[in-house]
Amino acid sequence: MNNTILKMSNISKQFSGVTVLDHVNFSLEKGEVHVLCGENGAGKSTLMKILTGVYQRDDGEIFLQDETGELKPTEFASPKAALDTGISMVFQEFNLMDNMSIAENIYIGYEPTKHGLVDHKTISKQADEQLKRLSLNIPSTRVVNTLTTAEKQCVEIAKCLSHKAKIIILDEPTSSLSEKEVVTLFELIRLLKSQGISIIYISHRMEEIFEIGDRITVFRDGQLIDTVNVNETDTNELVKMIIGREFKESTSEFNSEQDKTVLLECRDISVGNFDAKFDFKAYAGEIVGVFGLVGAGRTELARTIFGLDPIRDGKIFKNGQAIKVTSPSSAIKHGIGLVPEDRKTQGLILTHNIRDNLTLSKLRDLPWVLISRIKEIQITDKYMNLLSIACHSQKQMVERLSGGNQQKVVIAKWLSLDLDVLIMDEPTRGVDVGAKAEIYEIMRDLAKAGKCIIMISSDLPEILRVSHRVKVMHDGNITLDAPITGLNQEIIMHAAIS
Amino acid sequence: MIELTKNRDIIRQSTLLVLLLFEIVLFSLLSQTFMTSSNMINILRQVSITGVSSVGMFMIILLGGIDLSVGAMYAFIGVVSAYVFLGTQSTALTVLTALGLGTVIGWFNGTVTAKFKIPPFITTLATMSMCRGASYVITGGTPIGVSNRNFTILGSGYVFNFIPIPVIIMIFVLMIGFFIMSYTRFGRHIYACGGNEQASRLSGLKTDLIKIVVFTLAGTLNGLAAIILAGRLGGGLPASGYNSEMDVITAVVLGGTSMTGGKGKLWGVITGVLLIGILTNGLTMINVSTYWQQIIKGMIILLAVIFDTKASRKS
Repeated sequence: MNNTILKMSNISKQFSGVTVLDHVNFSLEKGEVHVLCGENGAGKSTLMKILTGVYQRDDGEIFLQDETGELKPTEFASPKAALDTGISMVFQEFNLMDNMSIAENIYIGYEPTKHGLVDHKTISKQADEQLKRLSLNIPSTRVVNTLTTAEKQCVEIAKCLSHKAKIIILDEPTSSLSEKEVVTLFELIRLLKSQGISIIYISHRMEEIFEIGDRITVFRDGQLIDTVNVNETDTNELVKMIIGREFKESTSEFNSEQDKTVLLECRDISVGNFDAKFDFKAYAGEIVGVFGLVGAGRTELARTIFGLDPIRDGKIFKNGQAIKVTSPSSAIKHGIGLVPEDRKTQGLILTHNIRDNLTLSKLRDLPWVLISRIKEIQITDKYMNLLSIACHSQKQMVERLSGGNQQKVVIAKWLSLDLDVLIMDEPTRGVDVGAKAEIYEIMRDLAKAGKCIIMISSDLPEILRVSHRVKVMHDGNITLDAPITGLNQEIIMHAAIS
Repeated sequence: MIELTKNRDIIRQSTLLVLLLFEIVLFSLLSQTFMTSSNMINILRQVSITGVSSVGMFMIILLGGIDLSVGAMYAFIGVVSAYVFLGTQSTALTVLTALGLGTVIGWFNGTVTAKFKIPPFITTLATMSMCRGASYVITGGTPIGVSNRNFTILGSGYVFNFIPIPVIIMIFVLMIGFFIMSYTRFGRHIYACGGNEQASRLSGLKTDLIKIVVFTLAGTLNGLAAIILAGRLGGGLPASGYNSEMDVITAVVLGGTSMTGGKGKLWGVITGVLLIGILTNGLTMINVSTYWQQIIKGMIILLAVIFDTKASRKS
């Protein structure tokens, strides 16, 4: 019997004259985890959207295994058609109704009925079974907004199974999970595999790819570069395939001889709803990596320093002087900036163009009437070149940029203000390998220029790669504060847990 | 992809203009008096009240908000102004009262919306009810007639015996609106705040202040529109201005302003105002009853929004 469950041959797709997929051949085996990787905009999402019926292909054919094990040409006219043939996708942003129960969410659109009315009893019973199949011990009557991110993800997967999915596409499933939750997710994926379900796994994270994947397909610039078995390749080769060139990266060297002036200091502050009080010092020319598990108080720390949360205890000092930060606008006045965690909802105005986004904060330095168009264009040009933002023009809507370029626009906005302290919350989340390295380079340049970068991250390799000094948070307190030399994953993780 | 968005704007622009031309041709064929210079001036005078208020409404809708209190503000401010004029006989004091009262009501709308995080739909619904009620309470339900020329001049006076004063006021307001939206930081902040409030706040914009100022400004303009209306009606009428907000909202939405905020152009709003004005005038000329006019206007606003949603989905 043929084990290929899906074959997509010679798939091409164009958007307004631009080829985004160029004769791509892709196949999927029964029960395998097939990893897709490539930079943002390389074509992997487009291929998945064609597979799930969101887009229609311009050229090529799709074959799907039917009951007899034969590959039959198939058409997906709509997302529903794809769903009905057993292809489901779990998006990075979940499609769940927050105020409805797990059961209602799983069966939304396919509610079993009795006498024409929704049969709540059956729904709950069937949903419970689905959850049990995923060895998840939550009653299906729980309302979704009481669940953790990881649990919500399980509900999404249960939803796929309820549609009798044979192929499940997971788009960056670990991007907002803690390390422990990732382990659970991988167990779940292995369970699905053993039930003969094929997984298409989109990810940027190298460690994960090698841990969970069977085969890897790399996309670049709309072309399928290669499909390889996981055990026949390594990280270096993969990165080379993804970015199409070798990447040299400087290391974070912190000259300790440099004037060690304290730029930002927090004394006895507490953050969020935590009781702990702690001190926080950051020096000029330093990249401080703040690590912690989800809920450890990292984001709250950023919010407090940036004036989004009122300061309950303690004081903030800038250059040795006590400052009062009451709002983002006053934080900026004191030279403190924040690159927020979620660029789409907090960092950018998606429906506006690059220039308007980039100069938004800079406007305060320009005259309040008769804003100079020329000056704006100059500023935008300068930072677009500096960060090598790839786009058609300054007037391109940021909505249409890839994740990496969007993030660069957010960073550019803050660079243009030339602030002393820049807090960056998860600066490379959902950003491809190439752009990631570029963002690190920018951070290092800023540090060299005597600025202070506070990088909040839940990505341990990133912390180790970029920081000069690491602060680990746990339960709203700092449990470790040490220079990077002599630190390793184990020490940091240990401090994050206890 | 950028070409697509540009195309969309151009399509939108030309559709509106084509519609406008179509209206003009249609009505001049159907009515002999439509295409006369006196009627053209007449149309401009008829749209002046909507035109003045549409600038404020445009800014509010750009922020993703809405203002339902326009018509009730006309009535309330008109009534109070009539009393003030009867008491003082001073045009200046009357105009100042109207503008001041409008400003205060607008500030109230903005402050409640921004500080208590109440949807502007609810805030202005409440203000609408209060203003309408107040205008009946203080008048006991009877119109306050003022025939003095010093009162009616803003609404029905002419410059050079030819150009109505309200038209001049409208053009002045539109020019200021253009200036604010295109050349000032405040204008840009309105677009940003409407596009994504949270991102704007995190970029250091004082979003609450922006909201309050926009609502306050809209209130001032409504005060101005109210005194024009009172002048035309020859006094303060507690029942005046019913559904006026609908005309203003229709004009703004018809002009391509997105109800979700952040997108729109003031020139589009002007075209929208004219489109509605010519429609009303033309339909009246060919003896279509006002009841039918309401039905037609309702259909047009629906079509405009459907077109807008479809166009933005395609791009």
